[in-house]
Amino acid sequence: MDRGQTDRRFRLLLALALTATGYFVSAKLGLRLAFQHPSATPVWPPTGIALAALILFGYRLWPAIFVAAFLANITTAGSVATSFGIAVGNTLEGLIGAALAQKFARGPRAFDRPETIFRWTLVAAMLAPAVSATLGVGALTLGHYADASEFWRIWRTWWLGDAAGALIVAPTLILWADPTPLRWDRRRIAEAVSMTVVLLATSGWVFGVPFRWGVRTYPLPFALPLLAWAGFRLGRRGTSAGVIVLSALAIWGTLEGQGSFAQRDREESLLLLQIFLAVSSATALAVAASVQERKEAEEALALLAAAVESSDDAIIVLSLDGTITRWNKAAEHLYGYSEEEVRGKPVTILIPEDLRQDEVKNFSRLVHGERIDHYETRRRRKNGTLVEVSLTISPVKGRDGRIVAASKTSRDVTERKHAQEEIIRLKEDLERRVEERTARLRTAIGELESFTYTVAHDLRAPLRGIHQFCDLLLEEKSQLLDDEAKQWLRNVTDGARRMDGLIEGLLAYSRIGREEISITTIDPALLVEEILATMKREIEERKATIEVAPDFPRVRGNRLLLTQALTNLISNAIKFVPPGRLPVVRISFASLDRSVRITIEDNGIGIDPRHRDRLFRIFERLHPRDEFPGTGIGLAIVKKAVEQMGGTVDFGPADGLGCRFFVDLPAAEQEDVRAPGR
Amino acid sequence: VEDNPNDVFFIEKALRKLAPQVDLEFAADGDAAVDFLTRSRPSHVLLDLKLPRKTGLEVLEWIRGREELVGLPVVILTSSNELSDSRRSHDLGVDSYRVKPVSYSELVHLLQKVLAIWGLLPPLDSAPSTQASRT
Repeated sequence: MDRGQTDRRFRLLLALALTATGYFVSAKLGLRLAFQHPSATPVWPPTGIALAALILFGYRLWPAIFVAAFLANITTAGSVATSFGIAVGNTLEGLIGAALAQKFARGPRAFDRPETIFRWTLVAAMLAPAVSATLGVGALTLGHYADASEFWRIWRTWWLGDAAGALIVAPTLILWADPTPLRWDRRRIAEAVSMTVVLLATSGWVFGVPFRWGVRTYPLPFALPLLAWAGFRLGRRGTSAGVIVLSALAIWGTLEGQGSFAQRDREESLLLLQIFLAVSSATALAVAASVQERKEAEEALALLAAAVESSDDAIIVLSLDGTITRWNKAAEHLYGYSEEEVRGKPVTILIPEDLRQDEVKNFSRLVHGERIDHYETRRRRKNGTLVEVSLTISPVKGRDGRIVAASKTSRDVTERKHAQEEIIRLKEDLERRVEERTARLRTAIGELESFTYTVAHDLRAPLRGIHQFCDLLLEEKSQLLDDEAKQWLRNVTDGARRMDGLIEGLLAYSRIGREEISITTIDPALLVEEILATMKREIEERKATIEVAPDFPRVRGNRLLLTQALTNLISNAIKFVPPGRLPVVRISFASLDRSVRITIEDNGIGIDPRHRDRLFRIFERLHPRDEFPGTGIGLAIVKKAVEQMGGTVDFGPADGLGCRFFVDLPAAEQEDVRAPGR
Repeated sequence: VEDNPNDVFFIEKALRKLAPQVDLEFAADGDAAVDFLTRSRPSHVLLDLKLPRKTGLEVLEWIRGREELVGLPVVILTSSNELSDSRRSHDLGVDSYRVKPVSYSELVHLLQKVLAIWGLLPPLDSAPSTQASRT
């Protein structure tokens, strides 16, 4: 068993014990005032204790009430059976009263409102005691402890005593059980003290207790102004305490034979007194509750007013004809008019002429109950300047639901507007600059490419001259040259040819960017077939085997560019094979997500992955020229051509020897895929 | 029509060797070519593209617009390997579009083929294939 559970059990036992003790003691005290029948007393605080305990701590406390009621009665008069019957009646009274109060009178909050106080009176103080009285007196009658002819007289005493308990004791207990501190200031305490003094003095005057002075037969109603005072000034708890004190003094005085109720027999006097006290208690509590209610409403209203006043948003209340009726500080700040200046004026003083028509429209929407949210417009300040505002206009409804006014909340959005405009301006500026730069870049690229073209082109003419003059020397003047001179001339022509190759490569490379390309659907299988046909001599010379997978899915691309790229890749695959090995090239495909991958696999010397970065760069060579001839442009062209078609190129090692090149191109099925051609 | 003296020298040399019976006239720029063609009508034209004053394409266009020169066979011999140039030339109706080779023997071979196309020499076998390269 954990601590919490122990704690809860202990508290339950404590509540049971306290309730039982309180019930028993007050019952015994009450029964001492029973004159007509030992078990029926006009003063019965236990009903109040039972109701308060069951409402505050729950219905599970009923055994305490049952046991205490049984013991109090068995020790007073009657048999076990009659005491049992009475105890059942008292317990039921508490349970029924508490349940009805929970259902109809908001339970422990019954004394917050006049309305629920009257409901409490009806269910807890009139209905529930009838159960107790009927069962109790019935038990006594059946047990022959009371005469049947006396039934209604005893019943009435019983019922009235219980009702007084429910109206005087229960409210006090329930109200004082509220843990909220009283928070009385010095003046309030002084008031309570002086009221107690006046109460005691009045009591001495009216009831002769606690001290006797003046005339003995002044009527009790003199005490009424005191209760009214308590109700208005001391709150519900102060009032209930006053009622308890007054009741105690009144009962005491009446028992002493004093006061206006001290007539006839003592039982009769006490009954009348109880009726009077019960009614007074209910009335005083109702007064206290309405004062409290009003105070709370006023506080809420003041809070709301303060919130409105301190709001950063300008809040204006308009009557339905568009006249300003209220105007908060923020409105004063925003528009420059003080509340005195604008109250009673038409709201149009704030609206620029050209926008008045909009206001009329807004107002007609409003009258139909519509709310206008964050309506951005302009308003004119007192000093004539315009201000950008965001308006929220909502109808203000009266209690009956009719629209009685309009509330207009406006927020200065000038800064935000400016910020927005600034953002738009900056964005446009940025876009313009990006466009300018792109254009400049494009021009620069274009210039560079035409420069490359011109230079490369013009270099070829002198090169041809060098080569061809050497050719002529070797052919027509060979008799003038010794073998060494001839070899040197051949070196010159070799160099010239290599240089021509480089220039041609450079031109081919720059051409890819220069020439406009059209993207069409291509069947790579047919294209590969054509390429292999043009490469026939090279393939035969190197005794290469080319294996082509049977069907290729169609791709989107440019015929010439793809031809160039695949030619270079196949040519490389055949070329970069160590001496003594016969080249085997496999060309295959794979369908990827939206593209087609063409794979060219060789059994050559392979490529170290470390060279990935250099591989596709122009004029890069991984091998000395005397091992594998070439210009170092082929793969640069492949990359540029494939990228021009919106594809990518990559490589990796082959399963066995050699390497694989991958060309990924958009698949032909994808209608929306377009290569960025120029 | 050729502006480069070296090219003129080698072309003349090769043509005289291949077909000694052929009469040759050289024009060094586009205007000179137009002048010459206004005065006389040759049987064939070998035309460079990159020329001073009028370009080869302009000369070709001029030829194609001239009634007196209808059906004049023209072969382009240029250093430009540009697709746009060859396309334009073909559009204007050339017999052949040839790129100038680097060596003399290749030039001789090429001109031999041109003369064969024009029916001035018997036909030859196919030309050598293009070379591809790798880094």
